[in-house]
Amino acid sequence: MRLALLVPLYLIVAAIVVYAIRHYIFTLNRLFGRHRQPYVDIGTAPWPSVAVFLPCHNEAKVVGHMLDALLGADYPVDRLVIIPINDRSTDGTAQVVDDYAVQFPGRIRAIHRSGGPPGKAAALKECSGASDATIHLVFDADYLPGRGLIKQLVAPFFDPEVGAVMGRVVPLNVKRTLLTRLLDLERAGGYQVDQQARMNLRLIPQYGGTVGGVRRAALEHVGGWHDDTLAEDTDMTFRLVLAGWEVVYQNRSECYEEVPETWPARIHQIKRWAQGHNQSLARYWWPLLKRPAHLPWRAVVDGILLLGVFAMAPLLAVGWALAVALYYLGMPPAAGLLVILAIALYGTLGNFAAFFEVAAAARLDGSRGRIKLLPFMIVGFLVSLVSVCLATLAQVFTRRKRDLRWEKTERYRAGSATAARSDS
Amino acid sequence: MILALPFLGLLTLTLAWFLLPLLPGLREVLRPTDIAPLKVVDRASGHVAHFARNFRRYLEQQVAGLPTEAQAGDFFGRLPDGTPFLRVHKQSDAIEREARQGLQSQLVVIDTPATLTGGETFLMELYVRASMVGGPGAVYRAVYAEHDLVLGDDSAVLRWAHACGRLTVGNRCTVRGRLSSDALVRLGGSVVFERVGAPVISVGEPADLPPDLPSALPLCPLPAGARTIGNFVRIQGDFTVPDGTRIAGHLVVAGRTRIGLGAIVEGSVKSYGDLVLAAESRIRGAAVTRASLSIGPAAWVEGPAIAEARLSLDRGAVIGGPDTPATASAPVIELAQGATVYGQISAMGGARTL
Repeated sequence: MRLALLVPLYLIVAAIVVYAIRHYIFTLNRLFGRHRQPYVDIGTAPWPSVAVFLPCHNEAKVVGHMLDALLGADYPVDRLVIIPINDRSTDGTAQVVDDYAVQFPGRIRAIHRSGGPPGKAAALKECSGASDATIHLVFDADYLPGRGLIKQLVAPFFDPEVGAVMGRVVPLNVKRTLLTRLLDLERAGGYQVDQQARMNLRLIPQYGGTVGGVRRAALEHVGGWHDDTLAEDTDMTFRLVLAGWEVVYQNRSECYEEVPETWPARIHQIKRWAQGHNQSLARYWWPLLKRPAHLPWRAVVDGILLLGVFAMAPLLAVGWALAVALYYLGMPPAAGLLVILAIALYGTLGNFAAFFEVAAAARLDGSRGRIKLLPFMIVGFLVSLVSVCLATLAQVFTRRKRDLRWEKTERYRAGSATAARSDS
Repeated sequence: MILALPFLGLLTLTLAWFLLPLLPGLREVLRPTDIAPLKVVDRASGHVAHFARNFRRYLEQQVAGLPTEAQAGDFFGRLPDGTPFLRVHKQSDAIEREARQGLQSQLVVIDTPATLTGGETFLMELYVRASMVGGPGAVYRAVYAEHDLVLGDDSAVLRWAHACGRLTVGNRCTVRGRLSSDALVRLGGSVVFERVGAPVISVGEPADLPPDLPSALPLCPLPAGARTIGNFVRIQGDFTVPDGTRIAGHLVVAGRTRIGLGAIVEGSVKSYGDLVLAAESRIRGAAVTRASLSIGPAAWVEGPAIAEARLSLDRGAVIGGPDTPATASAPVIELAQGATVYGQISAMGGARTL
């Protein structure tokens, strides 16, 4: 009985320690390591043709801002086409994108979907054939790219091995609520430290589905977008990497986004991410572990840890339950100086690894005051833990195939894009 | 009641201890001091001439705000924002006169073509409405010329220099920051710089474009382990493209790569190790390496050339083309006489000419 409880507990503790070490490696790399950004200085080049896909479902509030921003992009006009995909919107999105398409013929080509499976992945799957551009970029409709972003995102594709590129997402509506401020910190940690460290260490940066893109040849090589997943971005990342393509992260390619302003919206978002990520874990852990010849072991290990990020929350909860059960059953883990030291060491360092990452990101960004909110991140951590556990349980015990639908995060913006920027 | 007091005291202390780390955060929540989105988007300074163009715009606005009598002729005074300002309307000894008093500590505008004697130090920007020939040993914070600009030997630029016409940089100059021209930048020997942008950048006289190679070069045999991935061929280990052969598409080599004499790659090349282009070889796309890139005499990379360690261009080597400008980027770059880049050179760790 004791062993049956102890072995899983030790395995869970080992997994948590591995993640803590991973956080420290990434953070120390960002604080003291070489910043690797080989493509960031490509400012002049024979730019390839680019199609920017904008999947939209009820985005009338924001899609006009995004189209204005893309029309103002510093990219050769004859090599850039913007393709808003209106997927059965009911709020006037169709009218907005049609007006732009009429006003900018040849530059904006609107596609309207009224049939087929709904959802971003399905929209991309169906419409990616609408353009023969060399590079396919994807943005969410609420994003606000800067003038130079398209060139920055396209630059890495001059490397023939690069299949996908990911830029950095920066929250715009930071000042709205405590939640938005915490998400701002979380995003900073995720991109400034986590993604960039993986880029520095030549591991597997993740293509995030927006503020990024894929090479059409790579897309075709891996069989196009999949619509049977809740995280088409993670799915694409691992299919590309397994097939021999490289995924690149560009920390300097920044783009504003809206983050959820309410806890229910955040919980919905994190649950969707967890289920999508877990789907990819189930699909790709074994192909990764078989290690294709082109992948070094460090990339395999990083890939598996990346896939397992959301699986850690339920494991952590199980670990807590096991530890409590062992204590009350009168079967504490073996005592001894080494165990006590290990626990003390983990208590002082391990628990705070993720927070250390966020703090380092705030420092690298030059943020001063916002770092004081770091202790409040425990709230976000606990909410995420419970949400991810519930999402995973639902995924494991509800065997039925989930219906495809638009998984949309609520939009909060009103007025012009400029007003949105200055308001924030 | 008395028995409960220690408990309550302990509870209060515990709560206070728990809340202590939250106090700065609570204060930040109630009185936010750092609440704006990160100022990272819309940063357009990626363009080499960004600062130069911004300065020109700034100066136009400031000069427009001057009183009418100050808008023409020689003028000493201040711009509307308080910046000390000297305008030299005709070639005169105004600058030398000022220089004798010490450093040029005001923003200087020269309205007519000018030739400076050398040795001046401009602590603020210098703007020339015509062409300017600088003397040796001058120090410029930043200089903008509406026509041609010559920086004399042994001069230094602290921030940027831009010419709408040709920009000639004398021997042994040091340029910290950016050099740009709308026409051509010609670099002398032993010049140290970081970023240059122009339709043509050359060390000495620009090299002629290498001649077309024979179109019927034999195909390069690929090693047994070569694997086609999408639209590129991947080779594990070191690889040499033999002299006078050609590769039909993109190539990725997980090792060191050598493109042989007169060989041609019709697409782009990526090498995990050093990438060496022998004389008169050619890559029609980009050349990318995680290590060092060496471009031999009269060899030509038509697309961007990216090296994560070091990039060297031998005499007559070319990057980009008149119709296909490109970027040469590496932490350290070395250019021999006659090397030519059409587009942009970026070396954050410093570039130098031989």
